[in-house]
Amino acid sequence: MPDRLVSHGQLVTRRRLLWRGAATSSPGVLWLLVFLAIPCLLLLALAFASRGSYGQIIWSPTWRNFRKLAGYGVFGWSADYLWILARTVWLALLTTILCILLAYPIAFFVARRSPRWRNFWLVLLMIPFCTNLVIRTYGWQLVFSILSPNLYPGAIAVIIGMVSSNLSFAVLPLYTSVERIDWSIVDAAEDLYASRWSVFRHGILPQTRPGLVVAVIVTFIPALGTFVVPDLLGGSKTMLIGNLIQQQFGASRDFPFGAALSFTLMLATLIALGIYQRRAGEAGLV
Amino acid sequence: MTRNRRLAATTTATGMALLYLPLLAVVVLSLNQSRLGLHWGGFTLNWYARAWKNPAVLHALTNTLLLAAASTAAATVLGTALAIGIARYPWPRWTQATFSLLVHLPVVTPDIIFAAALLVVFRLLREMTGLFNLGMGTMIIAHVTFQIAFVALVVRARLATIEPEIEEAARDLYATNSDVLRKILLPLLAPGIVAGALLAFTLSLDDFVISFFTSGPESATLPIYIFSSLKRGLSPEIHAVSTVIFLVTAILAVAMQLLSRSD
Amino acid sequence: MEGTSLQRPLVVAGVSKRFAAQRVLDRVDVAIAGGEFVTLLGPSGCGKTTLLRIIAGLEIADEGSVRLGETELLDLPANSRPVNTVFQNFALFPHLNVGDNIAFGLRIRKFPEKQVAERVTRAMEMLRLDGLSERRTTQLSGGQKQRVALARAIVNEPAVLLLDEPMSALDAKLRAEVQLELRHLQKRLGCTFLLVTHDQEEAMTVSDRIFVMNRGTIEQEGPPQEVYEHPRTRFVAEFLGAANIIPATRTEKGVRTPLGLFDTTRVPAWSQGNLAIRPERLRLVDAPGANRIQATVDESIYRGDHCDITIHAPDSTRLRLKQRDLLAPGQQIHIELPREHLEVLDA
Repeated sequence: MPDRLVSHGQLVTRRRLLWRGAATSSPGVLWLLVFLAIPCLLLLALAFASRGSYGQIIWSPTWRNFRKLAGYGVFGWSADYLWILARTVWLALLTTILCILLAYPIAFFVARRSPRWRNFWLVLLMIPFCTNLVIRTYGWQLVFSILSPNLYPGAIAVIIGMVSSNLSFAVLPLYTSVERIDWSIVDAAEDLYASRWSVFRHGILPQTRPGLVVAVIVTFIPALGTFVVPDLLGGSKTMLIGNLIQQQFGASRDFPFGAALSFTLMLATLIALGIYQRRAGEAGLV
Repeated sequence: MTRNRRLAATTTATGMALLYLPLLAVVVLSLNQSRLGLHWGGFTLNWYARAWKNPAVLHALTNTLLLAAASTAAATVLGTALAIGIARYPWPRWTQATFSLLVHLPVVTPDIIFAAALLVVFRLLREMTGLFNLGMGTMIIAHVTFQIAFVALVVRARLATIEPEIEEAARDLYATNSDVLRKILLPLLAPGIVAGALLAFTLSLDDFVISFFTSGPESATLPIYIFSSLKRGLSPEIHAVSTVIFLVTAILAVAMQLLSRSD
Repeated sequence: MEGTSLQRPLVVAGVSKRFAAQRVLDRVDVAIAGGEFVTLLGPSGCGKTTLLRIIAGLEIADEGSVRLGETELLDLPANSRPVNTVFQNFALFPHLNVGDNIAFGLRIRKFPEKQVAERVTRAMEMLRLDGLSERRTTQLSGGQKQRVALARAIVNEPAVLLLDEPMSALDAKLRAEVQLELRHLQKRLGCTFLLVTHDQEEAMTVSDRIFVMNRGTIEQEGPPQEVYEHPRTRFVAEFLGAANIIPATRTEKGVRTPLGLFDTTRVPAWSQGNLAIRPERLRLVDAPGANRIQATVDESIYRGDHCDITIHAPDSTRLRLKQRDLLAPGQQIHIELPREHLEVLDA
């Protein structure tokens, strides 16, 4: 007998089945290859190209873009770009930490409501999350101008803006873990440990680790690549890598440099993911 | 324990303030008579009327809705087919892994990288074929690309809840391939497909960065319009437009929540 | 697919199946006359469900044949076989109501609506589902779901009805009642029922014949009484109830065991093997004699309608005895192992 099998009750050959599977999935797969996978590869290749004097792309491989990023410009060495990178990572880290610090108590608050009210609070958290980022951010411009004009534009405004825009991202996945907490374990921890931090560390943290991992990833990565918030709230002194990238693809028309910056951002993202996965796995903690 | 409770409650209040303060400011100022907005000049709906008559606003609104509708339609079909094609066929391990990677890529990549990559591709295609000028077409393509992934993930999750015995029972009761698809699979998948479509629609409406990068001069969406207006100076008309967007999004969010609870 | 085909014999011949490196079915032969209620009984992993699924068309056999009358079923896909299945967790279509679930197979085959309505009503009556036609399947109790699953299958008048552990999703109290109802249903319908279970009590209640399976083969088959009273292998003896297994050797004078020399109805084919006797067949007697031993009572447990008594023989062999009355621990008794109930097991 040829390679026949029964799949979901259907008698068919393996070959025919896979053909059918290929036919069904190929439009989607092809689309993603052409408009996602290949563009990403092209971007990677572009990072090693250079910009001609009329803005055209010269495709001979060079390290020029990365050297520029590291500071070796036409006028000698300057750490400007590296500072931008460092600032981006630092702000993203700060935003993530602040978001998580806020997210835990909020998640507990919602989890402790009665089931009918929980959905209400979750929807309340969802609505800003779904509302356009531009609107939410320029709303902060208004708030700052009214309440405390000195903070805006500046780093503090950017941080507040970023925490505000990422908070829902942090709370929702954390909440799914918090909802499932076995409170008897927390009670046992309270019996054993005197300090609140120990109770948290031994009773709550291990149980919420899955949600925490997602929350951190889903907050940190967008924060790394953010450009709207620093653009609207940051002013010229608080430029982040997102703004820099946008510049290269907009006014400066230096696509290859933009590609190199994007590549660096992607690398930072992957490194962050890697470090986080490993450390979260080892220590059982953040 | 009450200490913790108070902490939780205060933090939640702070969190809600952080989330809603900017939106509140926009809403309040949209109703403010005074143009400069820093002091209250009286209640008015004037700005809404003016926004409604503003051709640039209407043009942006049309673009936004057109973009969302067209991209959602395409992405729902492609994403659903993709989910079914991946999940229900006996692919070898490496193929499954590649599929998974491809589908998760848009979800983990920062918007800006994705937008940059598309921009590059469009530029190259433009140099090669003379088509792919930045505009509605490129925006739709961009949106569909990230929407497919989300639709596929939602539909795949729904697919997993359908026990294999259900299909076996249908076959046991004389159903053909077409019967199983039309009478069992699609009806059971429908809530997932709708949820995926709704998600895709919301993501499209909500998107700024990707639209911004891939739009052309005539194809501004509302978020882009608002952003460019900000550079030129704030007008309460913008507040009016933003408030409306906020309300529509709120309704959509509630709708999604209600839908997900009803199964 | 209808009418007189209800009485066609089902013959499974030489069916084998492997999953990866494991032999799940090893050249299994099962012959069922039309209209019989047959059970495949065995522990989990013995291959009974796989065999059922092969007959249903939901699995492929590596070799062998399954003939229903003149038709070779293995050539047909599942949706062409005149065979219907009741699944273990019922597999009711959640998006259809009870009536549409039951009518599903008929509608697929394009029966006229009038006939569909007739058949569905009749099936629902037979299974006491009257009035539930509009109900959603999620609002049914376990017993009701099972009856809907049955109705959905029988409404198609299959030649063979396959049941995959149909009682396992029901609670214990319901089971005894349902077992009897199932038997009555089969007699009423007249078509062949093939049921798969690991519950020997269930098998004995419902079946005309039982096929006892272990590790991919049929160890013994026959009517419940025969399989229970005259087990032919150790596995069958121990699976269908409690059994006292006594190692033995064959001699010219009879069968020698550590308990003594015994007379049996069959002469064993082996020189070394086992004998088996059910606890309820051991007889309390007054005096020593043929096929009798002396024993001391160890423990005596009252179970209401019977007592479970453990005794040990002079050579320390422990036996289990089941009888109406309690015995005092330490009491010295005489036990007879009647030759008509002392079974010689295959090696």
